Amino acid sequence: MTNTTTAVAPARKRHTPGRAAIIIGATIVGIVLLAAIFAPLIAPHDPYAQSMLARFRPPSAEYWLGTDRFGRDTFSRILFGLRITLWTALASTALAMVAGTSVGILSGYYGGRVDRWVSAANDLLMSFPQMVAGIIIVALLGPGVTNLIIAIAITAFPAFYRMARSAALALRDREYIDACRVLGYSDVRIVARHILPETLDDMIIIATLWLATAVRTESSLAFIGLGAPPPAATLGGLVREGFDNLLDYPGLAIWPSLAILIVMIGLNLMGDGLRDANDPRASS
Amino acid sequence: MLGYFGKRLLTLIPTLFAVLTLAFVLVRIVPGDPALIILGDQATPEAIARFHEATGLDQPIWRQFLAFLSQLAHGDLGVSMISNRPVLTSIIEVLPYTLELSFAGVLVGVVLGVPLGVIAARSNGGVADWAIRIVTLGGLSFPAFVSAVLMLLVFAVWLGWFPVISTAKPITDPIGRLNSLALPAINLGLVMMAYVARVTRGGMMNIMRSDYIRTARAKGVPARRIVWKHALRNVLLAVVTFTGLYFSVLIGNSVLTEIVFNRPGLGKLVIGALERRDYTLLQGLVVAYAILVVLVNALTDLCYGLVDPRVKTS
Repeated sequence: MTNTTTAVAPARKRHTPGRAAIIIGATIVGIVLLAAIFAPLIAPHDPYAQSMLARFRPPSAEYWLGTDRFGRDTFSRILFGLRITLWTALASTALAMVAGTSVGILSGYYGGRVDRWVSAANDLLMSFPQMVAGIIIVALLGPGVTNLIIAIAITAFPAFYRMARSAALALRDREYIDACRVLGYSDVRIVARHILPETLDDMIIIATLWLATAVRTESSLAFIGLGAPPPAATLGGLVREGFDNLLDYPGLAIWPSLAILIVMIGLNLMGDGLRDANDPRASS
Repeated sequence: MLGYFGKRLLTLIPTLFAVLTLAFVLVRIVPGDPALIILGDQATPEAIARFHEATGLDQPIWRQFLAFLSQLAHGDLGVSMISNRPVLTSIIEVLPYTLELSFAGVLVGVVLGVPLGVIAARSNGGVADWAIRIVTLGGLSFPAFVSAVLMLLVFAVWLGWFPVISTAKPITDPIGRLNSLALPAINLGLVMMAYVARVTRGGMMNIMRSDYIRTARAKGVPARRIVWKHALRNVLLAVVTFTGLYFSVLIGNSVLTEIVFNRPGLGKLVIGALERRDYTLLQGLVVAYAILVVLVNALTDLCYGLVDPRVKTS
């Protein structure tokens, strides 16, 4: 065989914007996570304590971001809202990653009829707009954080499934896998020790990117009124409450909106950075 | 070309059948008897039986499914459980608004996103590239309802440039209609713009490295012409693919946009159907959404054929 590598331009040494993005993104996410974890310690007020005397207060030294129509402290509610939003996003993404990766690898590795059926079911799931699927699943399952996690995980499943499946398809015919078979390794050992680790990098990157999507879906569902049931504070729910008083008290909608934006920017920066660092040529 | 499209349409039939089955099943696994929900807990057994008979719920499930399919084949999506209006009428009434909004959103996204992507690729690491990076990061980070609420606040409430409630204006008032479409469409389009700019930038970076571009350069073709004519044409294929894939996200975002801007449309209909537990309407809407997405996918394939004639033969 002739040497064909000369046709490929040598990789250009370049400044990695990926690294800066990861650092900034991880810092933002880290701060937000800490704020959520330690919310009970940081929050200046009880997020559920109502006070009819302190309704619709503007931001002040006592109420940093003002109060809502029940006199509840907006800043404290945002901190507690972060907990629900981040927990839902993390749990649903983890669930989708574990389920999607395992089903995808098995489907791609074994192929055949099962693979065809699972792929068809997956295509079916993908033929629904993600948001509409989320709305309908939550509506069918009923309100509650656990159901929300399941619904978001279902909508995120196809992304992991497809990636894991195509990775397993590509890997199963590689020579080193053939070698494993010749050595008499069991399928379980081949999949667990030689295929799964190969796909893990990609899966973690997709998971980081999907975290942002999960936050978006959770807050959107909460905005529609399908989030964690009241009186729980969720970021999307807070925006909704603010939206209902938009003309008179726009701050109530603006502050939680900014909180969502900060979380999203942090997660997107981290995800983009990880992807760029892994594959500098792919920036799309 | 027509043959290619026809073949593509044929492959849709199994998908559509599966989607229809899913819609049917989804609505029937909902816990609770629709009769109790609609007639109330105090309903007499006779009333419930009459309701079951009237809606066909007393039939075995396979017969219900056959009836559902045969209705569909006649273009009938049934009658709303709550308002007794034909579901199809309700959907057709609002469909133009959702389509109008979606296509206007796509237009905003592509018209702004493609040039941004090209500029970013040409600047590659320069100031423009970084500026566009930041803009696209912002675009990706806005959930549709957050951007909608903030845009409504700034441009409609504070600046007063657009109406606060985008109530549907009749087609006879084109300026009023465009005016009420503007903010919702920009809201949908801005997020899409961010994605399109990224896809275009990535595609451009790859294509500018290819041999035929080098040849064109060597021949002395002006850089502007290479970028906007030779390279962009090939990048458009990726943009078309992306737009097709993204359409389903866009439809999802249109639900939120319709709620915030109080526009009529499929999204508002879905929320209303859920609130009132109108399962026949919900079933019809699931079918409508699925058909919409499936059709757009087919249309995307058709666009491939137009942008890149090689696709047809393969």
